[in-house]
Amino acid sequence: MRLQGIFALAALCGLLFGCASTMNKVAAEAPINWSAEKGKKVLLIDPDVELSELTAGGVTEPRADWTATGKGFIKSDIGSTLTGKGIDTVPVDAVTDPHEVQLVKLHGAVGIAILQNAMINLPTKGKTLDWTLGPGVTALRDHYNGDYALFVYVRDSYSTAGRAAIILLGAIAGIGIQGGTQVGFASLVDLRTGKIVWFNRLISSTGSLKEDKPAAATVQNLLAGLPL
Amino acid sequence: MRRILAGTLVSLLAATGARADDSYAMPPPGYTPDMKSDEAGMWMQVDKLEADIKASPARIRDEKLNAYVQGLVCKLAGEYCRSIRLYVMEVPAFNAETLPNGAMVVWSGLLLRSENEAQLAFVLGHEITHYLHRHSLERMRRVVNTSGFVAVFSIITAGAGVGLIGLAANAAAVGALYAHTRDQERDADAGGFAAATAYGYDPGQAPAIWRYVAAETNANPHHEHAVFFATHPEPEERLAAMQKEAAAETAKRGEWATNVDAFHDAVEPFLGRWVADELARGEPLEGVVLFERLSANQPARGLFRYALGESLRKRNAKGDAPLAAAAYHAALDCADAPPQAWRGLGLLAMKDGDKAEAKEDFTQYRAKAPDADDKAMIDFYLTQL
Repeated sequence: MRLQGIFALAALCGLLFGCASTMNKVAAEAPINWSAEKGKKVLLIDPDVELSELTAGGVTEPRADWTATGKGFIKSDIGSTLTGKGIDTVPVDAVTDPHEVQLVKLHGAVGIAILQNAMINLPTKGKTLDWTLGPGVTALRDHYNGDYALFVYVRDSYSTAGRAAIILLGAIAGIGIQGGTQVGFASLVDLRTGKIVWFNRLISSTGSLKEDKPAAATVQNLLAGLPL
Repeated sequence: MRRILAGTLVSLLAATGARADDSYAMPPPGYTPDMKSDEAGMWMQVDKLEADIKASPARIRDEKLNAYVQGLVCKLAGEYCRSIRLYVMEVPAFNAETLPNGAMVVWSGLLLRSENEAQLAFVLGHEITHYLHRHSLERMRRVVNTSGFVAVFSIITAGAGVGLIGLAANAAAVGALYAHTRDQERDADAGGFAAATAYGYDPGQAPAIWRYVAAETNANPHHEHAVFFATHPEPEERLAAMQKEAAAETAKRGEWATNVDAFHDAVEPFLGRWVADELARGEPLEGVVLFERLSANQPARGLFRYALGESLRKRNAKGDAPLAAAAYHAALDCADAPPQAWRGLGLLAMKDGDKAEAKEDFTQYRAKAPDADDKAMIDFYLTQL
């Protein structure tokens, strides 16, 4: 119930006042430990990023050019953040092995489930982070040679001039209409067990992934609380 | 206040309607959209979809079948042959689709339902035309522009206290979207027809396959017509137009091809699996129509007669049980006599209360298919008889 309230507040804050909200959780019994043979390496699975225009009618129209730019910033900013912690990033840009493709898809499904769970706590789950992709993930560990994998998902929309006018018009008529928003999550998976050891959810009505500095700020928000 | 609203409305409509473009014909092969364009955004999304399709376990990778369908695609797409990447998927139900980026998806359900190469060619030609005329792009722009108008109109009318007019505008806009789509379907019909008849494919096969699909769909009152026919012109109107055109075209020359033998050679190794998929789909009302047709075309094939029996048994309408039994018996008289026909007979007899008959049928099934997946269930039935 309390989390639900926090989420509603975050959404309200995002919609009305323009701010960023993050909420991260660390699994209870999953201390970070690096195995000697792999060293401090984190796989960065090709981030699932999409930047789009929010048109007047509320249709999000994906933009390939903005997406390419935004994804580039996210990858390089994550890389430099991890380097700062003395960790090597192993970019996994195109997964083609059928088993690995299924693992990435599985993470997508689990990630969305955790996002929803952040809003409404499942009675049997409690408030702890208790999710796993299962031991099948060791295939990724063996193939790319790292103990952890970082998954990132971001959807970022920007109001067009038409949408901005609609928002203004709505405000005059007393109707609140949503503008562009940033929604995303990052999660860290232990590739020995499949356990999701850290998860962070980001919602923001400000920020931009189209430019260098605001993109770096978004990545800092996305990685807030990362236990590495 | 009203003047402010009206002024804003005009500028908004100008903003949302600014991107009308008359020419949607696909530029020459090798084309990629400008990265800044809405089309590039669309391609970016379907590229992801294509990556999923490419790695899907449902993909049929058999080289011979792929080469066969690819050959047809190449004929129909002409110089765009290399722009189209084919994916044959093991999915029951009638469907084929060309994504805006050139990825073409063909479901096994379409191959099971086509009677010959000509029918398949007309359907593939239809889908290739959607691609070559960039219908998805046109439709996406239409959605963006129309929804912009609806959003503006709803707010204005809500603000002015005339919500009902807003609703009417909404309905009209949705109607406009569908009407537009129907135009595209007519265009795709015409394009597919021209491409396939140019290669000598029997024009009469075009209305034949579409008419069949309409009949199968209509057999199921619960079928989600939205899946296929919501975006297609009124089937009757469209079929009548096609029939007329086919008759006129047929008269133009003496010989037309269906290439039925080449088609059967290509699909033969997969029929067992595809029939099992179709039965697992659990749509017996459609299954009866499908397998009646396949049984009539190939009376000596027990597989289709068995599947007809299964569909009839599961449809379970008045008088279906004896028809199902007859179909199972006919299946067992064929050279390929599928052992599952014995199971079907057993289930019918058990339901009918004829324990001795059921016991005999199940025993036959167990003997003919000793390693069947459902042997434990059948053994359990045998203990109850």
